[in-house]
Amino acid sequence: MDSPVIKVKRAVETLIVVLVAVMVALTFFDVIGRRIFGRPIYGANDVTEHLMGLMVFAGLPIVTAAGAHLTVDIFDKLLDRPIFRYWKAATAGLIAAILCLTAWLFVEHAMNAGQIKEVSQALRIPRKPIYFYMAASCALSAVAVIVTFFKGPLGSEKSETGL
Amino acid sequence: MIVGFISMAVAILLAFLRVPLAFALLGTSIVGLGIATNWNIAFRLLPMTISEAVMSYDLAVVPMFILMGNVISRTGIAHDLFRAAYAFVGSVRGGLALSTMVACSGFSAVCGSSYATAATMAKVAYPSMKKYGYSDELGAGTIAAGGTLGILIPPSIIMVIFGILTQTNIGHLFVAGVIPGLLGLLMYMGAIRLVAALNPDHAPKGEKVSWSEKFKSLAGVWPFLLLFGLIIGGLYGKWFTPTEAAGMGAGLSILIATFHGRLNLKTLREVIIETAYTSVSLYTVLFGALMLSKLLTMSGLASGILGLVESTGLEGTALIFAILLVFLVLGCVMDSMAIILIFVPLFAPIVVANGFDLVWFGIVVIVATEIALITPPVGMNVFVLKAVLPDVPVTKIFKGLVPFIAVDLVRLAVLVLFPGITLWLGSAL
Repeated sequence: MDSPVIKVKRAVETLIVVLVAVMVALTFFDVIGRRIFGRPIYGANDVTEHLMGLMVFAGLPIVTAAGAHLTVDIFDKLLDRPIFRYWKAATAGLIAAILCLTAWLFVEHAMNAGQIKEVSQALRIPRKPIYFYMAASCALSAVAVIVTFFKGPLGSEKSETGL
Repeated sequence: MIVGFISMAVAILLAFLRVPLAFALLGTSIVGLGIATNWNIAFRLLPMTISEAVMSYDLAVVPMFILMGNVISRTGIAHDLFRAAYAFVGSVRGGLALSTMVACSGFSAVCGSSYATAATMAKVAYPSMKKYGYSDELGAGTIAAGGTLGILIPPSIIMVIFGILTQTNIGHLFVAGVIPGLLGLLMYMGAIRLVAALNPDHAPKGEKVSWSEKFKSLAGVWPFLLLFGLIIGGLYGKWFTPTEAAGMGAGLSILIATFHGRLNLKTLREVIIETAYTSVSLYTVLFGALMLSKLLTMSGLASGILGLVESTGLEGTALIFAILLVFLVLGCVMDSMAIILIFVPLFAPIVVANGFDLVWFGIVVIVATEIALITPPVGMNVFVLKAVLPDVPVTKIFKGLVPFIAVDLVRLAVLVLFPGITLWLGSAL
């Protein structure tokens, strides 16, 4: 029986799969429509930009929880010594603090966007909700950092080759 | 300027102390900007920079090219490329290593990552080389070096990052990478022939293949020709932008893999999730690099370094060689992506101020970071190979890489001294 955390992770991953699939399909058919039939999909670029924002910030908490951020690991052996356990705690604290600050700044950014009625160029999609979404993602990622510091990283599906 | 310098030093120190690169860059950039300008500006810049980057159509090129590479890895195209290359060049001494190198460059042309190229080719080619009595040094060295072509032969994720950081046209960078990439392939093949001639025991001859078999082997490489032709042809002919090329490439690779019967919904899901993990970690680090780039400008560090360089009297080619030397030294201890993200924003203004072409500079910097992937002690391709081939000692891989590093240094010098080699193909754009 999967834990609720794993279920949420799977659900978010499914969302990401849908977002990426739509993005690829949209670009693919937009180019074919434009080049072959002379009929591009109106607002395709605009939708792609939003899908990118949704995808990256959907992935941020699970990548953070999996400890899958890019690190320079030349001194790994040295830093794995017990004496450095406080450094690991400090690192987790630092990352959580940066994420909390970013979340808060995105809340302010969303409020400003609401005040000036910021919208996307082609489809006039309001920016305020997506900035709130980014704030929520950063806040959730901060929680993920703290939880994984105590409980260990969430199972990652990162490829063995990385990039 | 001093604030910028200290911030950058702290960012590098934190990165070495295993703080994820994205957060090392973000944290120090915010504090640095806060001190160098004021906190209000620093706090406003952060969400603006992130939201502009993440919701940029040009940046959508990243996940789609990564997806294309990941999908195509599952189609078995690497095996087909290797088989075709072996049919044509396998019978000479060192033929298996030569075939591996040709297959590496072919795979690089549909995959934007050196690590993926090295890991895939290790699984495909190493068992054959072992079976035919190739030395570990030549076998593993060939794959690790061949893998580096992944970031030079387009499409290349590092090229995209360079383009975004320096606001250079990504399509022009892709086209400019073709000839230096082919030059790299030829020089690597020369190195293999030399090693095989000097140490015949390291590289036995392969079996002869009939001409009918040779032509039959070509049937497996059509997806590679189609994808590469579409992307580079499309960019060269200005049929589409890099993002559109990436979308077409990703879409076509999914169709090809499905046609091959090697992609079902479950595998597609896994591949997309794998792509998303890589993209998200790349994006976060890019947010940090973009903030650092703002800090470099606003703190006066970029102009300070420019003044400092001018005061040394270094100019022209000597200046470029000096910058590349910094990249090569950093490459010994840092990952290629980290070097590009941190140091390109620092050096690009100097290069522009001295009248150099940023497309050309991008290519020579990428060649320098290719070398970084295979130089000790931190040669990331070597570590990727070690993960796939745990029985081969790291020292043997590094030993096998010596001839490849030597020809790489020659190639770098040639590309710096003769910019026309890099810029010729794109001159018609």
